[in-house]
Amino acid sequence: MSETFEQSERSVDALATILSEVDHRPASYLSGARKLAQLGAHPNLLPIRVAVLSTFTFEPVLPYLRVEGARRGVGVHALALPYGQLEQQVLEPGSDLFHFSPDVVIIAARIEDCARQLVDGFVALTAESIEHAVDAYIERVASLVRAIRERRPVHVVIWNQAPLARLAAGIADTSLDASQQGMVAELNQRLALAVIAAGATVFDIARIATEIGTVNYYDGKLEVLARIPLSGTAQIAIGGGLARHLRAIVRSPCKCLVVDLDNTLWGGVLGEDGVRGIAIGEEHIGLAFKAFQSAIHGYRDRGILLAVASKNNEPDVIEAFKTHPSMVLKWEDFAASQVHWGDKATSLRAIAEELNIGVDALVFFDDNPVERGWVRSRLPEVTVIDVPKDPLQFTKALDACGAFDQLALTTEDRKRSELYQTEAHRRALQSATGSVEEFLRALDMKVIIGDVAEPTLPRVVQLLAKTNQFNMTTRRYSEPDLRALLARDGTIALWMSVSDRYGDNGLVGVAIAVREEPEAYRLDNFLLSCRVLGRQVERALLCEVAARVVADGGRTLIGELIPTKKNAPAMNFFAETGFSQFLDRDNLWQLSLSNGPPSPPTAFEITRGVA
Amino acid sequence: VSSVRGRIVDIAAATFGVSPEVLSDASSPDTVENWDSMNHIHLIVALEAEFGVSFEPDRALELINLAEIEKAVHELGGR
Repeated sequence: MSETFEQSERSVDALATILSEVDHRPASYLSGARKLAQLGAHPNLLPIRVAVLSTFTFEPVLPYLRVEGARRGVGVHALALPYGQLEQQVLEPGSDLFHFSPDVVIIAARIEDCARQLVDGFVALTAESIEHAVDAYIERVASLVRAIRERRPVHVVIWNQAPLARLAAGIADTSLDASQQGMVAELNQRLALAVIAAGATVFDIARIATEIGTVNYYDGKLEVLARIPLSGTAQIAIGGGLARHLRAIVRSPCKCLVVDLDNTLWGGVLGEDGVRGIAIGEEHIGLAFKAFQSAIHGYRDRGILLAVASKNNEPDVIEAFKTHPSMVLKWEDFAASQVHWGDKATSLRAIAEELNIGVDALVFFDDNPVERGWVRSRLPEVTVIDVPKDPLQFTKALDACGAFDQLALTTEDRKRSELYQTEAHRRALQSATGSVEEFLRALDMKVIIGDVAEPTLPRVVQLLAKTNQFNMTTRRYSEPDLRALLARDGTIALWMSVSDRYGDNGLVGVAIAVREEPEAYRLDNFLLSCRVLGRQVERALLCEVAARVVADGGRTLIGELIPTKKNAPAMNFFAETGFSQFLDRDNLWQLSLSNGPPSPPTAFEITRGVA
Repeated sequence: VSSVRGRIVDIAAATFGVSPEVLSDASSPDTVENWDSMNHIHLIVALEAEFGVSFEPDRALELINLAEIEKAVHELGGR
């Protein structure tokens, strides 16, 4: 192979070596963080600049954040601003905050520091004054979010409130008309609503403190010595939690969990022990495997596709799933399967191909370190989980990898696994019928196209963020960014949903056209989820955009095509739909609408939708 | 198993980003470049985690040379 390939292999090794030397001890983190700082930019680290505004000393958390970020493929370059400066940093145009040019701003404002009356003096407060103090705190944080986002299009992350170290009423807290713990819970709920509306996301420090326990989370000594209320244990856990949050901001979540079977989904080896001999069920270690299957089923409910890669006889495996009474997962829960004696890297490639997703969207869970090593060496873009020996720790390892983390779930996410199951039926139909046209007619598709508005905005933003293949420009917008674009005169933004005889695919297409000149509109975004590729629905969406442009007085539609590593399926779209390429500009195409918009496909029904 | 002293040296070296060889009894914030107030906090946290001890606040501020740290770890029964 070429020299550059070998060089990049070597530096990948340097990163892996640094990370392999970090254990659970703080000193090893500090040493690892120094080495990462010296290593600098790295092909496997997505760089991100993070500024932290806090009401306490945040700096000691940064080395842990750097290491935990690197473990998740994120190169964190962070700055902790002096504590207690929130408004000063946000409202001053030339402040250190903006001078740093952050991609992400984290605000950690504790009520212990800035709404003190809600802490030790809680019992003396009236219901009105509690309400007033909570309101004031939330409004203060929400206006910081708005002020930052008015100045820069950065991602803002807000810490919620951790459980308090002590309760003012002691064991009588639950007897109060409004308990102090209840106040914190309500504050967190309202804070989330307010800051998400202002365009931020919430970092759930309350959950992290709960997992550690408040006794281990707070450190009174570090607080008096240096205004650090967090113990070393808490600092490490926060580094990990924040790294997961940052990863979810900068990287698309993986889409498919590929599992092994023997000693992964059940104890023992099916081929040797037989269906009755494998360990899964109500007793001993069988319970651990059952719990793991149950957790995996939960991932399926979240929209993660499941697949099997196992060296086994397929009929035995199917029999085990269909006849063993304690299986939580059913054979039908898997969107793809590779059960044979071939190598697993090939199996993973085949699964990605069958599901029409990238290999980098796969997460591989296998108890066998040899298989993991093989997949790592052949397919470095696959997320391979370091599976612990103890099956009781499987779920924790899967959860902690963060590969499936996303900051919000939509209705489509919760329906996705069913969609892929019906996709298998569709493919069977395609092989049974003749021409594409016949296939499309037999599918009995219904296409609905409507204007993007508040109810569809979250799903549209998600599609913009996640679609890689049929995506002409791969331009990502946040909700507030998209709202701003929609508010502009001359913007046409459409969503498209597709259903067929096998089910509803949900919202799967987006087109955004913006007016550039009085009679010329540019396609700023045009994308289609890969699950409905090859069904001509993209033509329906294009025709509707063109019709809208004509209705608004436009006579030309300009198509923009920005090639990426992944959008090969979009390459020929403009050429195939009658656009002609600009002579002097590779990436621009145009379609004349002087004689009206093109006619839509006739193989399916197209209607206009609302909301 | 390395000695308490050896482990203290390793932790200090990792915390300050220096080679263990340059650290001696006399090493202090005056002689070690990165031994600043923030790294002193890191040092306390790392020592407490390593030896399973907890220094009192005033004592934590006195731990400004390796001999003193070793003494404090022994006093608290650190292992």
